Amino acid sequence: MTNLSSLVDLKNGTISREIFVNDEIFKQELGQIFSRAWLFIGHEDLVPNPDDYFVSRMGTDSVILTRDRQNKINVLLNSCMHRGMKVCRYDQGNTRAFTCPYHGWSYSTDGRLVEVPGELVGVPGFGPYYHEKLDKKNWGLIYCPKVVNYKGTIWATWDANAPDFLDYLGDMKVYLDAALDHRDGSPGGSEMIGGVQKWRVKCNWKFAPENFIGDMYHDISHRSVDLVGIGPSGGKGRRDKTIGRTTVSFDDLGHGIIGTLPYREEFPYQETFKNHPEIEDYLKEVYDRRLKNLGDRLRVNTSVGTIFPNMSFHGRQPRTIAVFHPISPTEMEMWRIFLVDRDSPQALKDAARHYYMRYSGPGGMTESDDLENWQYATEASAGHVARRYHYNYQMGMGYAEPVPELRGAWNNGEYSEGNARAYYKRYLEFMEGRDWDGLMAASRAHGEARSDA
Amino acid sequence: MLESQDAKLQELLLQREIEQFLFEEASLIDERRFKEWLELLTEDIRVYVPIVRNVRYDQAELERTKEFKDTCWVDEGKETLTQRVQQIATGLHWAEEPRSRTTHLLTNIRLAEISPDLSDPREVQVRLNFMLYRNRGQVETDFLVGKRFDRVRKVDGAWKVARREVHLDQSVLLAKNLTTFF
Amino acid sequence: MDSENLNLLSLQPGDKVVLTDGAVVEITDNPGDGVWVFGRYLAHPDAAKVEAAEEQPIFAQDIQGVQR
Repeated sequence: MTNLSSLVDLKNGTISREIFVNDEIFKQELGQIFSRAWLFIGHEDLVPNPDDYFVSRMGTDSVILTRDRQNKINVLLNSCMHRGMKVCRYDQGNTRAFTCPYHGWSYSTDGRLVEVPGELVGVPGFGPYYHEKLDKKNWGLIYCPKVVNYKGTIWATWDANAPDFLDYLGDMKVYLDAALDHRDGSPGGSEMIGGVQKWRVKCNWKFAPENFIGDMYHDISHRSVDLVGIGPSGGKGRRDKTIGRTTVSFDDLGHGIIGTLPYREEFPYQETFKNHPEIEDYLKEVYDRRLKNLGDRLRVNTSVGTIFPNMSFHGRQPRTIAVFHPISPTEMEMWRIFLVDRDSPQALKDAARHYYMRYSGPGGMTESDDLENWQYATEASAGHVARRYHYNYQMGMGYAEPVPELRGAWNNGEYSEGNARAYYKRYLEFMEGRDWDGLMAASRAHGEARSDA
Repeated sequence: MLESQDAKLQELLLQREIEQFLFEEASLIDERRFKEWLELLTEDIRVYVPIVRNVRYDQAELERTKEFKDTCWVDEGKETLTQRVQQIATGLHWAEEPRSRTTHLLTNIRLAEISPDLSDPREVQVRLNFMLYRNRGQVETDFLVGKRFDRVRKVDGAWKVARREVHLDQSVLLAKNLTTFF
Repeated sequence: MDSENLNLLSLQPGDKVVLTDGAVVEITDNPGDGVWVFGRYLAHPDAAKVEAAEEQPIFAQDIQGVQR
């Protein structure tokens, strides 16, 4: 195992290019991070009915997200236990059993037939060839021991010892809630627009979560789209302004956001869809409901955020979830799904969908420029001499202030690399092979969550 | 007999006219004459590129994401296309600065529907196959290959593109971004 | 019809098939993978299996043919 402490130098705020290009370190990431951390798998709207499935990824592994006949959501390793063949080569659909096309082993999630998800139900020649001596219970598909549905988002970990998802999230929860809850402040209520954008980018996967965890400094990347103006209101810039914008990091957990500090009194109503009066009317009504629903309770606004290690989300406009699947040290597969409030009028869903696609994804006028930067930063960092040198993450070191309302949260100010430093601090803790007690000790020392957070 | 010969000839001429129009239109993109290209699009142009999924033989309705409902790769009209051209013109759109080199190859062109009729063609549905090659920088190369379902319309005596639906033969897009035009 | 000519996708719930060991099975569900169907034994050399009346996965190559 490579000792990374000299490569991730948090004291001086520098990080070696090796962690972005090196094969050995990449393999270590798969073992220490992707085999242990909570990973985003998909949205429950991808599997609305019993026997529905959606094929996702965890690290470099293909996994099947499936809703069984008892309505439980399972995550299975998509590889036959006999010779490793992919048991599901479709992207999504509905099936009662996953049958390997190679030798015919068949696996089920139906709780009436099996005791554990993905157990073997059909083995050709079980009587005549195996003489009934194959232990079917031990040769089912590997399944994730921990899976949660958090407000429609599905998360899983391979590690049975991993802490509960809410512990892993900590008070980052309030920022994730701001994206997943209804705009009127009631819990949940978002739905996924059908279809998942999936595309390959020749960059190290960490460029993306680092970008979304709190890099306001890269705003210049998007100068061209700011000049053109693609905002939802049809006006200047590229997105809604966030009043009171700052960056907040959760240094003991590796999560962070660009958004607001917690507040109790709603900001004045902002018109965001001036081109669409009927949408504006709905949004005003939602705003009034929000005032009533939230009262003087604590709330936040999230522009963008990252949940360690490879899931990011946009909480306002566009409202989307992105995942960065590692393929190799110099390639990732990026996914995007888009969210709207389930009960919003069709006109708003349509306008949002159009805005999301001209903003995000490979065709997004904003995101396309990020992809160029991440790709060529990776390429240029892979040079033999280039690798000797560290990237600079020193912006704003020593200027963070604690956020009293949230456990373990730091306000780094609008322009700072504090959030990136928090991310790589967590990265180092995982990569060192710390056990979960070691990984969670600092966060647990902050105590229980506030009841009103 | 002569009448049907005439009709065949007329159809051939129309086919040739439409092909030439589409070739010229594509070369405006490849020659980066984007403002002139925009003028060949109707005001109500729609470019729509659904996402394709791998689905089982009996679940074909899931194969492509749905128009007006689902996410897709591209779904936009003239306003956004114009903004994209403006974005490239800023000289600051890093995904296309320096510019990519593109070449459109258009083949298997068929006139699927002529309205109202051959004697007075005002709107024509065209099916074709395409390959859009992109190379940028030194080694970055994309091959986007698929089928196109175009609708061209005569506006003030000149053909314009009114709709372009593109079926890409990739479920995971193997290009890092889509900053060229189909 | 022998099993080599039987495409499992054509079987519907309610269809009856004869297996190579002489058992008779009523199809209860066809998952559509072309390799397995689910069914209940109507007749089996081992009578206990008929009485259990539980749904069983039936493998394509164990099917002799469709009972008309």
